[in-house]
This record gives sequence, C-alpha cells and structure tokens, in this order.
Amino acid sequence: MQGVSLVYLEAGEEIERIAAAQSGDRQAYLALVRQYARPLYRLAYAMCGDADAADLLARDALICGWGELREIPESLRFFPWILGIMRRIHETPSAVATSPKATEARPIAAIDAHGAALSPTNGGARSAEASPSPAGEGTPGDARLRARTLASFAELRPDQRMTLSLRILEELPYEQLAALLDLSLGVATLRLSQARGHILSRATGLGGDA
Amino acid sequence: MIHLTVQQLSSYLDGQLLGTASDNVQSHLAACRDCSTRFALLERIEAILSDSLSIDPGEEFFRELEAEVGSRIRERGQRDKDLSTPAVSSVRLLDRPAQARAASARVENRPVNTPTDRHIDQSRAERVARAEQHTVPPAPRPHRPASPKRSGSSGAWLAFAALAVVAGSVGVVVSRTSFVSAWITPHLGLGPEERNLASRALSPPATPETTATDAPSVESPGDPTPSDAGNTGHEWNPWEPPASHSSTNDDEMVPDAPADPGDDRAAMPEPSTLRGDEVIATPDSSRRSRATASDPFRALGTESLGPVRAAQQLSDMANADPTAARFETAADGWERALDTMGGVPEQVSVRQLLADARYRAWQTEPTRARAEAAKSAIKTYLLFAPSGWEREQAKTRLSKLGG
Repeated sequence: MQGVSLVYLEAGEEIERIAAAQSGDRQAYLALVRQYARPLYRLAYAMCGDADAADLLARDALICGWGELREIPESLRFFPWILGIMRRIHETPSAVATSPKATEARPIAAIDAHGAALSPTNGGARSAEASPSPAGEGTPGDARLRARTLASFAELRPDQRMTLSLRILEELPYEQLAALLDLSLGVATLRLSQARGHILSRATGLGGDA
Repeated sequence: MIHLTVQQLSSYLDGQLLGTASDNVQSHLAACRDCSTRFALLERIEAILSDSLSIDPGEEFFRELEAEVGSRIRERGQRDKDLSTPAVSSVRLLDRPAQARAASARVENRPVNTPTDRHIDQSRAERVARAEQHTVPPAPRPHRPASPKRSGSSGAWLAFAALAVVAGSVGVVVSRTSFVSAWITPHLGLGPEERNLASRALSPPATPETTATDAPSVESPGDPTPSDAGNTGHEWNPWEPPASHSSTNDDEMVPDAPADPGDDRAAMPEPSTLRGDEVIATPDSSRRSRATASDPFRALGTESLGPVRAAQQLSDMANADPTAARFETAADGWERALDTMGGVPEQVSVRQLLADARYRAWQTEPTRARAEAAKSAIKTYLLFAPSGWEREQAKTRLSKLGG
C-alpha cells in the first residue's frame, strides 16, 4: 500500500496557477499537473485496471484539461475538475453502455492462475504472494478470496468503483469524498455501502445484508 | 436477532459512526458471530483492494508524463495559433483541397527520422507549409490568366491544361451548335474534341472585345456554356469569356458543382502560390455528400471539426494513393483531431480511424516502429470500442501485429 497521494495545493496558490494557466502560462499548468498527476493516475488505474490504459487515460485527461481550462468554475478546485474530465473520458456512452462486457473493465491488470493480482509497476509484475499485506495471503483460500474480490470489484459500476477507490486509496472522509464527486453525503455513503455489499456478496458468498 | 446492515458495517469500518451508533455496532459485533464474520471479511476485502489498487510507477514515470503533457500542450498551443489565423485554418484548407494536398505533399517529402522526431517535424513542416500559404489573399480577386511573376512556360501550360480539359468536356455542344463546327463536321470528319480545337483554330482571330481582354497569346480563355447552345440568333464567339470565368468563381471552390475534371483547376489558388506539380485531381463529390448524410462528426463543434475534416482529407488521399508516409500523415492528422476533442462520443470513431491509418501504414511498408505505433493505436481504440465487427477487426489486426 502506497499511502495517500492526494495533497491539495494551498488554495491561494492554486487559484494563482489556474489563472496563469488560463492566460496561457504552460508552466503554471504543468505545476498543477505535477501536483495532481499521481492521484489522478492511481484513480485511472483503479478505473481501467491496466497500467498502460491508466497512463493514456490520465494523460488524455490532462491534455484535455489544458484545452478546457477556461471553463473551470471558480468555486471548483483543480483536482475534482480534472477528475471529472477523466471520468467523462472514461465513461463515454459508447465505451461503457455499448461495450460488449462493460463490467469486464479490467480493474486489475491480470489475475494469475492462483488468483493473485498482477500489479504492473515499472519493475514488472508484483504478485500478491510476493508482497506481504494485511490481506493475509498464503493459503489457497486466501488466493481465491483475492481473485473473487478483484473480479467483483470489476463488476462495480464506474461511479461505485470511483467512490470506493477514492475512499480506499486516498482515505478521504465521507464529506470530502462527497464534495469531490459532487454528491450528497447520503449518496456517497450509499455508493460505498452498495459497492462493499456487492463485493462481499460475490467474493464470499455471504449476502450483502444478512 | 436483527443483524447489522452493510451500510452500518461500512460506516463503522470507515470510522464514520460516532457516539452511541458506534457503541451499538461494537456491542452487536461482540455478540453476533454472523456479523463479526462479515465484518472481518469486509476488512480483508478492504486490505486486498488497498494492496491491489495502490500503484506507484515511480518518479521517473511522472516526470515523463509531465514532459509529455507539456510537449502536447505546447504543440497544441502552436496549432491553435495557426488555426486562429484565418488564412491557414483547417476549415479553410478544407475549402481548398488543392492547398491541403499541397501542404500535405510538402510534409510527405520531408525526410523521416525517428517516430517522435518525425511527428514533430511533420507538425513543423505543416506549419511552414501553411505559413507559406499566407501569401494567398483570402478575398475574391479578379481573374488573371497568368501571373506576370511566374515563368511563362509554366503559367501557359497550366492555362492550356485547364482550358483543354474544359474544352473537351463541352466539345460535343460546340460541335452541334457552332456554325464553324457545322462546317467542320462534313468536311473534316473529326472527333468532338478535335472538332472543337479545329473550330477554335478556324474561328475569327480577333474582335473588338477580344482586344480588351488580357488573354494569353496561345489559348482562348473559355468555351461555350450549355446555355449558349440554346442562344439562337447569337453566334458564339470563342474568344468571349464565358460566365464561368467571373472573378468570384475563380477564387472559391463550389462543393456541389457538377463533377467536372476542370473544376478543381479552375478553383485552384493563385498560381503564384502553387507549383505546377502540386495540381491534383478534383475532389470527390461523393466525399462531400458523405459529410451531410452519414457523417459521424457532424455534431462536433468548430474547434474539433476543422482538424477532423483535415484528417479525413488526408485519409482519403492515403486511400487513393496508398503509401506508408501518406497513412502516417493521415494518422498524425487524426491525432491532432483527437487533441481537440474531450470525451465526446465521436472520439471513438476518431480513435478507430487513427488505428486504421497506423495499421495500414504498417501494412503498406512494415517496420517495427510502425508495428508498435499500430499496436498502441489499436489497443487504445479497443478500450473504447463498442461491440461489432469493427472491434473484431481491430482485434484481428492486433493479433496480426503480434499484440
């Protein structure tokens, strides 16, 4: 686990950089890119499940962001806004609704024969067995749980996947999570519980709500 | 016993329950084996997801990403500057297919370096080519058969070629209406085109009107129009400029004009801006009708539509005369179009066309670099591709590329 990567710029500084970027200052925009590329990429990876696809998605979002920067609402921080662009790119109707198996969105790069997730990093594949984690791998039962968890995560709707990923990766409190996704607190809470209920049900065979 | 809901477990897991609510859940978990099992599983699932979703490709990766974004937005900024100049906008190039092709031809003639360099070089070359076209005045201008600055032979050849094609197309009309032709037909037994040329050769060499024109010394400026045929009582004077040579028609391409091989040449830009070898065939009228019938891009805004149309032109050129360089130029065009599009649905079609152009470049002249470029483009397209034969075709192509 890599820990949280979303660290907001100080509000005044961010506003200044956005204004400079809007007037054509590329360096100001690249400073914003530098600040937020990491959480954006991690969320892209959670959405795509493939390192290359995540790279493309994040890059496309950041390039599109430059073109649309004049349209950023004054009340919005840069990260939620660029995240919105990325979600829009990822969730184009043709890509989601008409995709043959939209649920097979490859949330993780691959799952090996033993059910371990192969997480593509620069150094290559990193299997669950090779990296000790609190998930308690080691037995065939653990590997099965891992494989089923990842498979059921892939079945989540994109909005559920994004909400759960933000909560897990960035450990955002519910209020911030809701604000970031432009949701009410109740809807954010509901999405989280629905996502977890689905995974619990599919991965363990236990009903989401007993 | 009433068990805890997933929402309660989820909120408790995230520490969102406070006070009594939290205490109640805690005491229930201590007493209820089912709920404690489910909660334990939720914790394990959370740990699995946290472990699997956390990815850190390293600082170098993010430096490269930043550099690439910087490069792309710089390129885009330059392109926007170009596009903001009316004389060189993509839309304008579309209005002038001959110019677009000329610019593209110049680009293709440049030496090809590495894939990255090539892309940058092509963009730069295209900008240079466009900049050169700044000499084309945007406003309609009076018809000048030949520019005095050009070499006489080239200008005369262009004028001769254009007039010869026009003359051929209306030769039959001439032969049936002109009194000269009426005389030629029984006496010489020539074909329509020959008759037409002969009729002009035998016509009176000069009239008072003729002396007022600045027609070249070797060719007539025009031929009769069909309307002239029905003009009884008026003998057609081959030296009289027809209506089609009005000053406005010369400058503007008329998209819906009847397909006539001479049209494109008549609509060619100022001769001083084009070399003779850049004169290319007339645009396909069916291509234009496609834009209104089943055009998947018709809903695009102007910012994206210009680059898309330019890319379509480049693709059409590549399909008409397939070379790897042309397909690569087309692919670059689609990439530029993609840059102007956000998450609009049309981007899927653009990605498909981009992948197609990259693949066909490889197919035409296979190299490892082209194969990699094609694989990358197809893989990206497959991320967005809906089900259907296009998707299957892309998969097949990817497998052929060894992807």
